[in-house]
Amino acid sequence: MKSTVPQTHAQRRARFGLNVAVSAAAAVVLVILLNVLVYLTLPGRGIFRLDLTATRRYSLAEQTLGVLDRLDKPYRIVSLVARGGLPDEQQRISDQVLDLVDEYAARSSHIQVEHIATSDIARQESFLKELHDHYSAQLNPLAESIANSRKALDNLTTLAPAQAQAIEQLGKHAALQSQDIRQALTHISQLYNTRIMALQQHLQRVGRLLDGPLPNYPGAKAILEAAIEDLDGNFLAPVAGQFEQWARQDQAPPLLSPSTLPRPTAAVPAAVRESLLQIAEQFEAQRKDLQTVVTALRVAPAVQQYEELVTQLGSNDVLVVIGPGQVRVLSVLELFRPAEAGADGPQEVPEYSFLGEEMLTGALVAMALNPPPLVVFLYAGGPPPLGQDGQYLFNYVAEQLRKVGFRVEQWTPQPMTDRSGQNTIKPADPPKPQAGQKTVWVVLPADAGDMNFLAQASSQSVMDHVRQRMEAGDNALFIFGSTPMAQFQPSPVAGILAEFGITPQLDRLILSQRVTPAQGSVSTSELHVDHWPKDFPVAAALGGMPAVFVSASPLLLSPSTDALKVWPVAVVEGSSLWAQLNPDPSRLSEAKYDPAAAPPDGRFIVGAAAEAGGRRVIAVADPIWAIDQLTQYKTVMLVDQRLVSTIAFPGNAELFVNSVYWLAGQEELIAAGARAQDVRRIADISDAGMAGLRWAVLAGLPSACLGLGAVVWAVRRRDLSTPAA
Amino acid sequence: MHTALVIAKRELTCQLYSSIGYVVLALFALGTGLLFFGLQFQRGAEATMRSTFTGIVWLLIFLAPAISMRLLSDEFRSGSIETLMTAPVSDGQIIVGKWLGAMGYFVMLMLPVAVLIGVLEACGDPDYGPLSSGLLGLLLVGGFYLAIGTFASALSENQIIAFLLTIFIISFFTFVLYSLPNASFIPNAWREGISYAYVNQQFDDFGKGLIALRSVIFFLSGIALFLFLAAQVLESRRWR
Repeated sequence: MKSTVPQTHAQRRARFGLNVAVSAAAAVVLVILLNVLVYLTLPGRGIFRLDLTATRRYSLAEQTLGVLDRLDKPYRIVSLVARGGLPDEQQRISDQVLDLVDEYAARSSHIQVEHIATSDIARQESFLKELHDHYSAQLNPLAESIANSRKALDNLTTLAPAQAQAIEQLGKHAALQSQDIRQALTHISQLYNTRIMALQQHLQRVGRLLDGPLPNYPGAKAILEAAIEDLDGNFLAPVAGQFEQWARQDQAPPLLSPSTLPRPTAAVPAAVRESLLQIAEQFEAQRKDLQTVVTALRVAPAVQQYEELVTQLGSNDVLVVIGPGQVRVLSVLELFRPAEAGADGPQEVPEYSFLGEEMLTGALVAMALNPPPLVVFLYAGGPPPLGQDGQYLFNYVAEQLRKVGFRVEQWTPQPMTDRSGQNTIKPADPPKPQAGQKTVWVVLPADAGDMNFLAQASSQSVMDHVRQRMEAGDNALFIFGSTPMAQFQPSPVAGILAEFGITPQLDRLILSQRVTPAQGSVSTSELHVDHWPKDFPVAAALGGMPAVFVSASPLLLSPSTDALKVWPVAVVEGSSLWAQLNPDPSRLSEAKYDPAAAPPDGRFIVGAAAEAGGRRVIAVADPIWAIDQLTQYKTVMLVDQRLVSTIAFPGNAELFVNSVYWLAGQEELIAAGARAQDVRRIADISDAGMAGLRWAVLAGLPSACLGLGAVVWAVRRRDLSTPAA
Repeated sequence: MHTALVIAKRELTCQLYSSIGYVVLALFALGTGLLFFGLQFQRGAEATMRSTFTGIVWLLIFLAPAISMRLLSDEFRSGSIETLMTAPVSDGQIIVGKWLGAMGYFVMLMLPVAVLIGVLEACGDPDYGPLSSGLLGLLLVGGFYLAIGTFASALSENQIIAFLLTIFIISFFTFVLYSLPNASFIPNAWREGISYAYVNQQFDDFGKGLIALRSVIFFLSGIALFLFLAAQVLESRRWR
């Protein structure tokens, strides 16, 4: 039998060398394979990761996990966020947002995440182009009409110099006797040139707006419409008319710039007349072209979602959530909210709560709504609450609801009169919910905010409709205010609310007495709120948000039972509050504090929610708390040494929107109280203390290490020099 | 294992009795202190060590080779390796013992970090979760780099060559793997996979207060691989 033991040293080397090489290669391959396997199968998040932070900052809430588990369609979250080279605080915010987005991707196979750094212009542009393509079919009519308008204006600007020159030459025509018309023609020619220059500038602006991956069609449309209307109405039409007038030798007052254009004082020669008529014809033809394109521009349907997208993507850092047929944009700034004042004691650095998870989950839930809930603003008369007319509009809150995909409509059962006030218009049919569509009726006061009328509760016909709809399973948000009529006859709204354990005291108005240096003791109905009840999700989510009520009445609540649950939603607190019986609106500031009408616990409930037999209502006893003037009222504050204009009472809109979410059964959309951030900060150390610490650490610590080394060295030296026993 | 521990103890004692060990400790204390005050410790800043930990990971690129360069090279140079190899000790035990000794010294190097945590505690109320995970992450990164250093030290009798070789290999796991995904010739699908092996990215989660199983596996498998390779190199000396 042949021996396999190598005989020579070279053979042994080769054999053992090969053995080592193979085993080393095998080990390398094994480790690479193990890591590839781990990389492909073991997510770096979720259950395979321990979150040791005190607030479990990197873990998703149960609510979110439930939403993610129920996703059955693909979603994509793209972050357009600045990264790297940022100040510490900004970097922390950026990291927090990106970490959160990654966590969603790790938890659901239906979510794909991409991070695009704002510095990566090429990728950013290709993504924006992709978003544009998402809406391209809907945008086509508008884009086409804009292109046609530009083409028409381009043609006009090409022809215009020759026309202007022809007009100028006409003014120099030898046969033209009238000096005034000569001057006028020269003036018109110059005016035409100026107009064309302005038009070219407009076209350049339009070009810039459309020149990008996400063209600003609404902006371009507005500029083109205005430019065409201006050119047509203020130049082409009057000049064409004027030329015809001169050609006819009409002595009527001039059509264009009466102060500068003269009546013809001498006969216009035939040759000039012909030319004037020719130019007038050209102008008319141009006008016709322009009117055609501007009409097409006007009727081109606006793509509201795209317009919102363009506006929202104007923010620096955003998250874009792309779902089946929908795109939502969340500004990173929206994801942070100032924490409740005084929650953790006074702090130098203002803390912000991170609402990223709530907002992102909310966006996913909203995109999955099918059919989307219907919200109907129900008003008894007067100007519609959603529109441009009228003093008390609810456009802002309606817009917030539309943003999350809710269908928002308005309706009144009352016959209306037209603008002339002569004809009565039959009320339209009420909006009809689709099968399975959650519907919320927002019942507005008879005349919202009319302080002279003291905002009666809605009329009986409105209430009859609401009652009927609630019996069919819909829910309602009641907005009403105090009325002097309440002492004589019960308000219709009180009848419905009584069934839910809510008793509005509509004959009372809550007042607060304040002492001012200038005026001394003054009473006011303006009540500020920034502490919210924590046992009801609608209110709990508002933690720390300022809100204002300016005409609030108290609500009395029955205790909750098994069949009926009642919660306070909005509470005003203060030491000098009282509920004034039948107040005189014109002399509120002079009202005297009435301790007998003060609440025993120093607080009045002005908003309440109730649930009974599967029906839900929310009542807020202030007729104007959600109108645009309050929800959009802005104030200026100092942020990072810059003055920033910000909404003063965000709590008002938030309360409205959260109330509708709850009434629509969409609790998941409510930004549940921001998770405590628990940002632990280094204390305010004095300069001397800081310097001491620096010296101790930078000089003391290394010196101590060296000292220790010296001691060891000395001991070792002594031991070595000592002769062994 | 007992044998490995004996070797580790000898290695650690050697480091502790060496004045150079304390000079390195002092330099490391100065470095971490500068990182701490330069990147993290300011009035009102978040009381964490995340940036300091990240800075230390960069420091380790040079520190770990300095600790590991003499582990076996010195034995080869002085000839004491012959004594070890003729003793009833396996190559694996020698390698593990040497590496454990270096790890022991590395743990001692973390003392200044503990002092910095004490400063943070005195001036704030730090969240100890991220501090603990950060320390664990540093141990894993340190262990990984020391394993690479042990392997490099087994390859050469020259400490300088061992030092440079260690830095070269560590650079692959840091600078190269950081830059490679940005290279245009790398297919998009590979970019994330390549970044996975980037040590600083693997450490990032630890700094935040997270312990991801895959990161732990990455470091432990890396340590095991380089110690195995070092043992193979040592074994090859027997028949070379």
